[in-house]
Amino acid sequence: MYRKLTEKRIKSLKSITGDNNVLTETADIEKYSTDESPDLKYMPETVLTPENHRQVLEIARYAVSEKFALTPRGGGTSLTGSPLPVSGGAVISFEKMNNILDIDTSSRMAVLQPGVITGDLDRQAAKYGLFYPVNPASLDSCTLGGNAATAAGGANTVRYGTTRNYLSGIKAVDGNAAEWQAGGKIVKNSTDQQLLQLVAGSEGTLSIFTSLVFRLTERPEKNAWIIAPFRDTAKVPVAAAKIFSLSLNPTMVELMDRLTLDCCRKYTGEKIEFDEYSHLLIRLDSGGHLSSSAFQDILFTAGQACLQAGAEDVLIAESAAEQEKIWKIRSSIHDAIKETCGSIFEEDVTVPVGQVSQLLTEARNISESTGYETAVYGHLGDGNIHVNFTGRNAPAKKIKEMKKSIFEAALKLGGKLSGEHGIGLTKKDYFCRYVDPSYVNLLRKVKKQFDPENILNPGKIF
Amino acid sequence: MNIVVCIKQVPDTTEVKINPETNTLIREGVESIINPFDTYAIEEGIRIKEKLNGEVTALSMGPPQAEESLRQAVALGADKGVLLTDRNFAGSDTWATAYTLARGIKKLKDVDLVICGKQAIDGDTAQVGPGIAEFMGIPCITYVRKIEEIDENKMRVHRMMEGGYHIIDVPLPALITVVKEINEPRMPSLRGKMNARKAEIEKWTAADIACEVNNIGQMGSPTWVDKIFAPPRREKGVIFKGEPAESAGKLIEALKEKKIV
Ligand SMILES: Cc1cc2nc3c(=O)[nH]c(=O)nc-3n(C[C@H](O)[C@H](O)[C@H](O)COP(=O)(O)OP(=O)(O)OC[C@H]3O[C@@H](n4cnc5c(N)ncnc54)[C@H](O)[C@@H]3O)c2cc1C
Ligand SMILES: Cc1cc2nc3c(=O)[nH]c(=O)nc-3n(C[C@H](O)[C@H](O)[C@H](O)COP(=O)(O)OP(=O)(O)OC[C@H]3O[C@@H](n4cnc5c(N)ncnc54)[C@H](O)[C@@H]3O)c2cc1C
Repeated sequence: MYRKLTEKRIKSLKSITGDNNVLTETADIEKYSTDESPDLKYMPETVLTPENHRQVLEIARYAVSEKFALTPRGGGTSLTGSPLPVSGGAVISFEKMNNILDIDTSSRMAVLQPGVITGDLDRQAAKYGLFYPVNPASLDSCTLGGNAATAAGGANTVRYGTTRNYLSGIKAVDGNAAEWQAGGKIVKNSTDQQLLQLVAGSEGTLSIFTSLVFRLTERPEKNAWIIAPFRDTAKVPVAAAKIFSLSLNPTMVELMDRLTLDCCRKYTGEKIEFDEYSHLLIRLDSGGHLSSSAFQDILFTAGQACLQAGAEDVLIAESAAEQEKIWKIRSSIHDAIKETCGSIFEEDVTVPVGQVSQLLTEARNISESTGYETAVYGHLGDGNIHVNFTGRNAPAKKIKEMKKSIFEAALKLGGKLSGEHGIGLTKKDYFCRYVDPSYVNLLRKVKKQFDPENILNPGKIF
Repeated sequence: MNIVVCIKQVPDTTEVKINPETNTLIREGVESIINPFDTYAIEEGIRIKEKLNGEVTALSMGPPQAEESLRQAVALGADKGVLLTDRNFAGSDTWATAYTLARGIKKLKDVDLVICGKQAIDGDTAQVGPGIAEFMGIPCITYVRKIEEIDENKMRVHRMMEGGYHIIDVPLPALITVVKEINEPRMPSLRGKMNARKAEIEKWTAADIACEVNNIGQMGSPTWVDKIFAPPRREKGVIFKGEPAESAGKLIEALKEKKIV
């Protein structure tokens, strides 16, 4: 098995990174023992905070020669236990590798270290009129390294895609302690793109990223939200389908059901109009080529489609203050549910877009048969729906049962276990049970190539 | 119930820049919004209308682009917007602004209630509301944080005070200025936005509202801005530490040194 990090080994690590980049005191390392998934805790033996690629490489070499586990960690916002050191060893935290190295405006590319907070990239890009559109709701606490390792999505996926679509270059160290790189400031790449896509979403199990290149895009000039409250949650995906049929190219098409809104209202203290209904939220944007009134025409078209689909009313938020309020509410959901109703678990299953209504019905059925209320929200445009079972102190057996039911419901509809959060620790058993065994076998072989000693983030995915 | 809400278009920034030569606000390049306090005034006007029926008119004095603010008021639920706009209004101080708005309200006829914001975030004087009431000869209650009751003839309001509030009964017509505690403004609806697009924003000149030329614009403004500057930072104070007798002694010494005592 893995070797312990004795005092002697800690000393060697200190000689690689310097004393102040090796944390061993319980008080210092405690916060690296959890992530945002409920009830998981694994203490690392040490936490390393390297400052550059060289140090990461040396750490990997030493880990391979001494055989101890390395678990990369970004912001620790994972909802699956993926950055937790289940086999002890060292957590590598990228908090000191958090610099944006270059924003190349002519190629529209950003080169950065993996510890950069996702929201900071977009704020920096904005200064040059550019846009980094991938926006997980954890935007201001997750890192781009973590996003690359989970292939993070977010509410903008319907229009802009996920992290996968922007990750253009990578420098990494694998489990053989070999450094490798692929891609670059390249938009189109039929040369060395494949491995890059293979390690994107590998949750730290195949390689540790030390430098990343992300594509940036044009920053829209105008933005607005449309809020359409519906008495019947089932009508929300129907209205969303109507919006898609109009080819308005929305950036977000989101569902927030009644209970979700209720939690957000209590948690944020913000007044939410029509909070007794379920909401369809649509965000539209446009470049400078559209006049204000032409953009408003698009808003009106979308709004009227909602009314025709049975919305009780339609609100339009164009001012910065109104839009900020909506995003504040939208991005608080996870914490809001946890703090106000209690979240037994949240799963981000994904189904074909046309099956979302079915999934909502299934979730309601499970809720009715188990007696635990569900708060459902998520991305109607891409079929990735977040189902929260709310309450506190549910018995373990019951939790298992509910999880199994919601996963099987999604699978039956042609869906998958996770649309963006990944597998990590919490869905490992289900992954092995529900994913094609030949696929899992191939994946094991891939893992063997990248990490024959199983040094990198052991115990995850399968 | 005829309600007039006075709204001012202001730059969307708390750091207003000032032209050092003319001592006036530089408005170019800054996005304009409805003075945030006035959004509470609009909301309160609409709520009263929803209860008692009647009409809400949004009124603004300003350059032609202030029309956009009035459309936004219509989007929120105001029935119409009127813009007082005329080259001769330029340079108005609070006195001239209040006079001009009062003339505009007079032309609107049979107004029961005028609602203003507590203050504008750029000018910040909080004088315009009371000024209008004075010109109109009607009661004025500032800092209103709640309208407890209202009918065609009277209302009972709560006026915010430091550490408490006054309950005041007042006959109508009257003018109130409102604080943000009074309500939470709604978001504009699709219907409202569509109305706003179609709305005819009336534009009245000085002649339309029969203003005395000597009372408007720069001419009618008794306030002359001589110079605007950031006040010098206050120097750091001195603290005399030690036993009371000792520190009091030091204080007296220091005061003597400065020839204050
Ligand atoms: C409130 C909230 C909202 C969320 N919303 C979304 C959402 O909308 N969309 C979405 O996709 N996810 C969402 N998430 C989940 C989470 O934020 C994402 O999975 C995110 O990508 C994790 O990034 P992180 O920096 O926090 O990584 P961590 O949680 O620290 O790590 C995640 C994984 O990445 C690996 N990793 C981290 N850095 C590196 C590196 N440099 N090299 C190799 N591997 C590395 C870790 O080992 C781990 O396996 C949300 C989470 C919360 C708490
Ligand atoms: C130092 C200084 C120099 C200035 N110089 C000039 C100048 O050279 N030229 C110039 O044009 N202006 C100038 N102004 C602006 C002008 O004097 C005031 O902005 C204007 O009189 C309103 O006063 P206020 O902004 O303090 O509003 P406040 O009295 O704080 O506003 C209270 C309420 O009155 C209402 N209100 C105020 N103004 C209007 C309006 N225009 N239309 C409708 N409702 C309104 C709103 O309901 C508002 O909430 C200057 C202001 C200052 C402080």
